[in-house]
Amino acid sequence: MGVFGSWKRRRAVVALAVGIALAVGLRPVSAQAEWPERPITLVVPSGPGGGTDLTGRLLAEHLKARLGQPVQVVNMGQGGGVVGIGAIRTAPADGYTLGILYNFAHYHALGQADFRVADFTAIAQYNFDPAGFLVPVDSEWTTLAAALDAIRTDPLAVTIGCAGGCGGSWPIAVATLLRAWEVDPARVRMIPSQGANASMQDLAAGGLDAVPCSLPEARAFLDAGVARALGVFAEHRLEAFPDVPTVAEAVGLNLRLGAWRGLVGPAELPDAIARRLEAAMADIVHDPAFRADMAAGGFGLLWRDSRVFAGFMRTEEARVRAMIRNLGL
Amino acid sequence: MEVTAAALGLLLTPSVLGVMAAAALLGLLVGALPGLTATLGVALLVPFAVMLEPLPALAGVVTLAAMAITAGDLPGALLKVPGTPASAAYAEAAHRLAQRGRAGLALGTGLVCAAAGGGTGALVLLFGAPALAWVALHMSTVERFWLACLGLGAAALVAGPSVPRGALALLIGLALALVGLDPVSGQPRLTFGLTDLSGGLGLIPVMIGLFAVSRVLSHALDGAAGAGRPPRVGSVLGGVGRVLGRRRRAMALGGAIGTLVGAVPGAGADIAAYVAQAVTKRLAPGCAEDADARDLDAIVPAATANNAAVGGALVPATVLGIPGDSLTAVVIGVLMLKGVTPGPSAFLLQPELMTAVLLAFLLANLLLVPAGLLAIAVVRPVLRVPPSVLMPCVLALGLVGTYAVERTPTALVVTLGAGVLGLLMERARVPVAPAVLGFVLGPTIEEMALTSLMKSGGDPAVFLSRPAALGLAGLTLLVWLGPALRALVRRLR
Amino acid sequence: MILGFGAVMGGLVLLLWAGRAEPVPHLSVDPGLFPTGIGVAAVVVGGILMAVPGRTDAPVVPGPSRAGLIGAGLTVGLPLLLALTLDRIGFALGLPMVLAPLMIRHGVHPGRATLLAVGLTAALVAVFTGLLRVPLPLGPLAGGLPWR
Repeated sequence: MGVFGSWKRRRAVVALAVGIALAVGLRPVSAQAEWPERPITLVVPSGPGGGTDLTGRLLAEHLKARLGQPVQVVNMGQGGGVVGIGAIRTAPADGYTLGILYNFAHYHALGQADFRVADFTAIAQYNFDPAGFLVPVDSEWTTLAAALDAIRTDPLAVTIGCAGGCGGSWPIAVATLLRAWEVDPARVRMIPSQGANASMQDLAAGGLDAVPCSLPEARAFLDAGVARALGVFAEHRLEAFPDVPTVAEAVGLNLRLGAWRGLVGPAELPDAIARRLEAAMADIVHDPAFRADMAAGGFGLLWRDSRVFAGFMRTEEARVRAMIRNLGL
Repeated sequence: MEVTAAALGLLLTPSVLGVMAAAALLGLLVGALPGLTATLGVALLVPFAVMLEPLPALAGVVTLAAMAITAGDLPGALLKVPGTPASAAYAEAAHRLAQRGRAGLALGTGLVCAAAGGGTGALVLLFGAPALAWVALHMSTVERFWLACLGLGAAALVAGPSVPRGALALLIGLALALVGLDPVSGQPRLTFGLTDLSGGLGLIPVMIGLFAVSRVLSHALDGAAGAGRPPRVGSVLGGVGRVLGRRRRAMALGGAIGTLVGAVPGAGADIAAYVAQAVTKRLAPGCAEDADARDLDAIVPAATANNAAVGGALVPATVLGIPGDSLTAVVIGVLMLKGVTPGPSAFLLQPELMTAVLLAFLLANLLLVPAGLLAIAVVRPVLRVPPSVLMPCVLALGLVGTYAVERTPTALVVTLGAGVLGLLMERARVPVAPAVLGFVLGPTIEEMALTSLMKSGGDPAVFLSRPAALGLAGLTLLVWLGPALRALVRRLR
Repeated sequence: MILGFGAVMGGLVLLLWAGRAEPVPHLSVDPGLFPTGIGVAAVVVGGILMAVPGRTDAPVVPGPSRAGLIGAGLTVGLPLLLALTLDRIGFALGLPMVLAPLMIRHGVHPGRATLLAVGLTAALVAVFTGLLRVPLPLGPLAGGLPWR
């Protein structure tokens, strides 16, 4: 009794293998056709439903209309996005796998993964959401200055949600603020969570004193009347949230911090493809229909072309690394 | 009333009903394919939903979710491979019934329970949503820690005759859940430098491995000497009335617990099923006169609870715009893509639309029974397929399903490894279901316990610091220590 | 007995590993706490399993035959090979090469097995990439699908 039973059976298996090999060999090899000649995969390094997913799906629809090929969104939110970002990095640089990238510099700085700016080809940035400072609706703190004073008096009595890992975009914003107010951020109790939504839920349930996250992410809680926003880390007040003062108005510090999202490919994406994609992105971000859809979801728009976007990511990487060392995280 | 009438008018149009029918078929398919979850099915629907009007899009989403959770019972009973994690709690019990030639009874019971549970969830959603949303919003990390512990109590209880073996299976699941980024510090743990493992081993690979691949392996090991095929499916709805009549309390408890647990952020249909099983066993002990009755006792509360949980999860999503689990996160995404911002204002600004969506959910749960009967009729021939063909097919389904969810080849390796582990557990007579439960709850318990401790600076008194936490702690201790107390009393006699 | 011993050993390994976990500076709670808890519980449960005599009425499972071991090895080995070469071969080609040999090994006629394997793969690929729109790696056959 051999592995496959009788010789006759084994012959059949060999014949099957040969047949398939022939079929593969005979497949007409397509010549260097015009990109894109087949559907494109867009890796979204987050679970379905969040801001990265929503904007990614919007982008996919608009890219499809401009490239003439379906753009399939693939959610890879495992490990707080590490798996998805890793998948973008290791994908073949043929233009058929692209991805959405967001604040990722802290993964490397915190030893969670070794992503670097050089691992990606920057195509364009389309979104920026400034961080906000949120407290429960029944909080004693009515202004940002009052909150910061209270934290300075007794930092150990305060719990601040991290909305994602404690090195992510939002906690870094608040840690920068605390440092400016001469509070040692390492002395405040920073409580990690799986994301802005989880932190906001804990805030509403009375488990946290403050949560930094973007205002669109907190909108449901603001509308439900269980949370208040004391400030937003932006230059001007946001159109959708006219009552929330900027940090500059509240405490006189000029800070612009928050989360950004952009379209990238793996490193060394062919120039022609990258240029074509950048042009499509420029068209999309300035398309009124796309702008209206983004505004409806409460997402901020920010256009950076590939050169500026790449430079921004490099500065950001150096800044976050220095900041995390500084914060003792 | 005016609003309800207007909502019905919106709902009962050919286009909406047509979309619901198509979504129902897709839901049955997704649920019956091992690995594909209700969440994934809803995510797959999003590109289509973008093209539709808001109401048909949302009606389709809620229909698909209800159908997928229910259809997960089919492979559970017929192959002992749960189609979705929500069915994992009672797949073994249903399969035991099927092997005794009572697959029809197991499936019929599950179907009616699902409809009843889903209906309960829908009615709560229609009439009691604001109150339930208030409860859901007041669950801090401490309460969610106790809720997860309550779920763990199920393991030792549903494991069958041997509590230590159930506990061992639970610990195996908890240990497997250690792989991945530490949920609190975010540091990689036991990932062996593989980026693909940062997200952990993955629920679907582990579940498919433990349930499906282990079965294929077991068949390969025993060869033709393996278990004989059950002779017939048996009547599907006959006898269900009697079965459920005697388990009214279990069903009611299952519906209530399912709705409540579903509404709690972070707990989905799978956890609801396990919690309902554990609490029912303690508060409404069933009629354990023979093996069939014991297995039905395990099915009824869990099958009711997992469908009720979908309605519960929609509560914070529709009332507050806050997603309770990944499924409702997608629902909210669809709402926002359609220009409806979920939350209190949605009910004020578009009451007809929101009511129509809730009515669509109720209708979907009523449609469960006929749709489920259809699905059972379609898959009935599976029982006639000889194992020599069926087992490789189960393997193929498991592998493709796993890949579709995780999209990494590493996940396939994990699936195969979990399959070998499942085989070893089976041979050592260690049950598999508690391991899946431990795997689901491990990261939750760890995160909730550690973050609660961090808030208090390491003082364990934080776990009893809130009234709701005290209540849940009491219930947990009752469920956990129930068997130990009973054993003690027996020994003293 | 063996099971209990295995559980105790597993628990001890986990305890050793958890003890080596380095504290993270900004966390007030030791990250080794939870693994330690599991380790202790495993040792306790293993001890109970060792102390409580096994049931004598348990059915005696005969040891696996050599043919059975080969079959199980193939059932794990072939998909493992597929997983490792998935990016190059893809499901469309690789899956029949896993399924057909397994079916043949279980006594299905080779021709029938080949047909069934190819048919099932085609159906699965059609359902996933066509109906559900989940992209699967299709290897050299990518691009040859009618709906793309």
